[in-house]
Amino acid sequence: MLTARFHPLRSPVLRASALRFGRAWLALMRLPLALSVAFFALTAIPAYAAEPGAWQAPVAGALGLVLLNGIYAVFAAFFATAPKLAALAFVAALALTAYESLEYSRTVFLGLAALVVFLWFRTRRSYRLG
Amino acid sequence: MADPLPPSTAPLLELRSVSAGYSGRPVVSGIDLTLRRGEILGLLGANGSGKSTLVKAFTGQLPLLAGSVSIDGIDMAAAPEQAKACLGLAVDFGEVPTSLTGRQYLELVASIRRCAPDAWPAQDLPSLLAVERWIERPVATCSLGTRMKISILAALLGAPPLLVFDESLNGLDPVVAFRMKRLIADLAASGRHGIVLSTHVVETIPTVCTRAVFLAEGSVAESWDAAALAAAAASPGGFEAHVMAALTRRTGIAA
Repeated sequence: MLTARFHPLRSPVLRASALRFGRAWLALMRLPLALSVAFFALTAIPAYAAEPGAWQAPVAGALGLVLLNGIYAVFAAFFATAPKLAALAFVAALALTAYESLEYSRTVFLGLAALVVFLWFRTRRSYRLG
Repeated sequence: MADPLPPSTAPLLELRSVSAGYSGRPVVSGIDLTLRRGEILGLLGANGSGKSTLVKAFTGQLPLLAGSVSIDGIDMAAAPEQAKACLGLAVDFGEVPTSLTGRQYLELVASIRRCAPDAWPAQDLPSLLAVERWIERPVATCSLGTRMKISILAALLGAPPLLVFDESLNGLDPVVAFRMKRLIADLAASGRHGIVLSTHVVETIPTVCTRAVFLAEGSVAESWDAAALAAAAASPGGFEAHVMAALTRRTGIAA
C-alpha cells in the first residue's frame, strides 16, 4: 500500500534532522503521485486524441487527481504507522463528504478541507516537536 | 583532525527544568543540564530510568511537558529545524532503514544535511570503524554491530557540533569500541563538539567522559564533574562501586 511509504515520517532519522516537514512530505508523495499520473495518462491521452476539442475534461480530471493524492498523502502522513487505517479513514472521509453533500450541497467540502488542514498541522507539529 | 579551538563557555546544549514523557505522563522531570563544546557528558541509569526518554526529548522527538531545550543557543520549540541542524544523533540500530545499503543511507543523511557523503570530522572513518566491507551491502543483511557503526557514521556526517550516542557502543567489537572511545575523546578535545554518551557500560564513563549524571526514577540522582570522576575512578572498579551504591540507595535493590 502506498500509505506505507509515509512510515519514515515517524523515524528518528528524519525527525532528529533539520529536514522540514513539507520537504519530507513532498519527497514521500512523489512516487504515489507519479504512479497516479502514469495510470491517468494511459486513459486521458487516448481520450484527448479522440476528441481534442474537449480538453477541459482531462485537465479537470488531472487537477482532481492531484487534489485527491494530496488529501490521501495527508491522511497517510497522519496515520504513518497504520497504513490500513490511513486508507480506511481517507475513503470514509470522502464517502461521508459525498453523502452529506447530497443534502448540504458543496459547503460540506469546507468541512473536509478543514479536516485536512487540521491533520496536516497536527502531523507537522508531531514531526517537528514530537 | 583540525587544530583545537579555544574552550567555549557558551552552552551547546541547555536543558532547563525539562519534563517529558508519554501520553501526558512524565517519565523524566525537572532535568537541568548544560553541555559545552569540549565536554563529554555520560548519561547513566538503570533500565526505565529515563535516559532514552531524555535523549528523545532534547533531540525533538518527544514533546516537552515543561521546560525548554536549546541547542547552540537556538530554542528547540521556537526553531526546531535550525536547532536540529546542530545535532548528530546515532539512531538505534533498529531504526537504520533496512531497504537501503549503508552507502545509500549515508547519502540520504548527507542530502538532508547538505554535505558530501564523506564529510566526516576525522579522516577515513569507515576504515576506522572497520565497516568498509559492509557499506555497499543492504542494511538488512548487516549484523547489529555493523548497523550501529553505519548509524555512528551517519551521526558524524557534516560534523554537527552536538553529537548524541544513545547506547551506541553496545554491540561494537572490542577493537572498534576502543577506537570509538578514542574518536569521541579526540572530537571533544578539538573544541568543536560537545558529546552526550548514554550507556549501561559503567566503566566507560570515567575513561571517556568529562562529566556524568546518574538518572533514577526520571530525575538526576547524582552527578560527577571531571574531578569527582577522576577521584571515583582512582581505584580499579571504584567508579562502578560508586554507581552501584547510588543505584542501591535510589532503588533499594542491592547490587
